[in-house]
Amino acid sequence: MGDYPSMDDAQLMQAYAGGNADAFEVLYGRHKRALLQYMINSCGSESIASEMFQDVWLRVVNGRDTYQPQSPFNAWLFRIARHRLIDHYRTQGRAPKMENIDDENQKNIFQLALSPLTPEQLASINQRENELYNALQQLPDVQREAILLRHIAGMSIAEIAMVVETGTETIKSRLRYAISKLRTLLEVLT
Amino acid sequence: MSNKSDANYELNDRDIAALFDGQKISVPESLDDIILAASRQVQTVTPPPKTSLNKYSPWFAIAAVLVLAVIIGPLVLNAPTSEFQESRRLKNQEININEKMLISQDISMESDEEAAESVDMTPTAKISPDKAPALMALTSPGVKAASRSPLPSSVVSLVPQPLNDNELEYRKMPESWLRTINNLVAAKQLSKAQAEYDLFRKNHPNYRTNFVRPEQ
Repeated sequence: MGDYPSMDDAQLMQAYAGGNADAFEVLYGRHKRALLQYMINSCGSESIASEMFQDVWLRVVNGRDTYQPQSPFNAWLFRIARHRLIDHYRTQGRAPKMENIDDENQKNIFQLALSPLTPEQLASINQRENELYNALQQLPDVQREAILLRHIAGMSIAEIAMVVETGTETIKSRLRYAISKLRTLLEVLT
Repeated sequence: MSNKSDANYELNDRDIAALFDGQKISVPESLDDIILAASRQVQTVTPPPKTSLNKYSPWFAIAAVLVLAVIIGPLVLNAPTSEFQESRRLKNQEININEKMLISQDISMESDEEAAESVDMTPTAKISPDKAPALMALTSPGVKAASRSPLPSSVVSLVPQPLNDNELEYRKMPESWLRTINNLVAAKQLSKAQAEYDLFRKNHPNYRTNFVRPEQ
């Protein structure tokens, strides 16, 4: 493998585009779990997520020459994944939509968000992963997308804005709504 | 991996993060194999990057064909064909002359040889003119093909054979060589006849003949 493990993502991708297949293996190992988790939590189906996961990596392979090292590889990868998800939504006859929440609802949600879950509640949720999937599926697509990129892909607000191609304030707003609603849903589920 | 140290603390929900961290998700090995195999496959089948020459190679090829067609086309259509036709015409003309001359030369040589064999090898006798029609008749394919010809073998050997492209053939027998030299003389190709005669004498220094070296 050489020095590939010590390289950053952009260097690895450039090395792969230059003909070094081992660089891709390192890159793939770094991001495969996060990407699959993102896909599963986005669509709620492991089999569909696996299929899309494979598609995304093949698009990375085939588009290796189009990668711009100036932008983070993580953002590029998840942008591809996002487009694949949008294709999936379209084949299902629906498009990603942004839910409008009025100020009153927002206030109530934030009230709920201020009360943390107990350890017992968390343990219970861990035992029932499907409930997390169910709660995520009840979020608007753009909010779910924001929270998944934040917590699974580990992106900053700016990186999420780059992937989603929108402003940072919009991302913050989506995250606030998503966290509040998710907490509400999980409390209800538990 | 995570950059959660920004000031948006209200967006860093530890409980939510813990939920995601607790998810037991692992990528199946079969998926790993498929994706890694695909990543290696494209590396092995990827064509070399296009250089500027490769990029425009179809245009270079077309231009090269056009240039060659313009340059070589007229040469092929005009010059070589006309030279070839001219050489063929001259050759046929020469063959016709040779065939006519051979008959008369052969007749005189036959008489010389017969005289040399019968008396004292001195060429004195001349063939009678009435023999000529018989020799002329021998040139016909039907007579030539007949191996049971009533004529003596020496006469049959003197029947003129059509010249072919293989000029070395006539040098195999002294008689045919001399006939060819006679033909050259008749065709006014004296320098060539001299050269042939010199070569003949070199190969057959003791061959008896009344043939004299052609002079300019």
